[in-house]
Amino acid sequence: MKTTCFRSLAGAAALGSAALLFSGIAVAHEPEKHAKDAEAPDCAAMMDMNAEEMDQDDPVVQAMMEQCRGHMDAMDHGSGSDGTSDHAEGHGGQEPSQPSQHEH
Amino acid sequence: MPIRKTLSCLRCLAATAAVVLLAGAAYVYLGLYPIGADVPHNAATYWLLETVRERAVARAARDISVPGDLEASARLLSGGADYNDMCAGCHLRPGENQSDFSLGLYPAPPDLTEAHDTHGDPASRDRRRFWIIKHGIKASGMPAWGPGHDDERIWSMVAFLDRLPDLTPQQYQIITARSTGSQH
Repeated sequence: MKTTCFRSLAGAAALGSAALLFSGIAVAHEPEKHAKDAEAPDCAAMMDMNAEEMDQDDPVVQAMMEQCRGHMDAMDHGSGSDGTSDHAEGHGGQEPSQPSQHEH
Repeated sequence: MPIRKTLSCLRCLAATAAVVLLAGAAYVYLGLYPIGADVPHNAATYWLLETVRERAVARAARDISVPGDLEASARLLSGGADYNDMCAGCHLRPGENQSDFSLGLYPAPPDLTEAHDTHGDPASRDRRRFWIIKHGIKASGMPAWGPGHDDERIWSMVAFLDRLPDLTPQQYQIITARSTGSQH
């Protein structure tokens, strides 16, 4: 009887510890949590920047290109045979606060 | 005779110290210090707190080694998103002059979009920033981010801060967006 009681207590303690541990992890600043309601990069603004003035070796330019690579790829893939695309037009007029229409 | 004079002087000093201590204790316990954040410290208190802060941070951060890849674009993307989530409310974004936090906090949080950090050479400045982000500053509103963020993430924030004054609002928006748009 005593053994059963101890086992129950030990189990409860282990469960409690695990709950505390995982609740602590959930409280920490998880990038994935923020990604859900984060705004998309305004890649249309990047298209408007003067490409000749952008130093391709500058980490800032590289970071922007990396952020917008998916958008640019989507525009390429979405282009029809006539070179037009609803996909591309959607990005061009997209406000940064709107979620991307191209998330798969 | 000189001994008497010395004893008299010591008594006088002890009495003065006792009076100063009592006056200080009375000032503290009677609640006379203007503790509200909308009333600035007097010059002496401000100097004391600032000196304590700067000397303590410089001493604590002096042996931190700075990673060699702070200029990598991946650092900017990781640090930028974290800066936008955790820091921009107080330390502002490019194109902003103030926020409720920057107006209301005392001491006022530094505007990190402006290149006015003159704390030594670039490596010392990076060490200082890393230490402050990781450990925070007592009674200043600056939290310690270390408990929830590993050193790599904090170094990425330091890397982002190095470039923040150069960024236009458009560049800032693109780099700091926690995008799902590139996951095609």
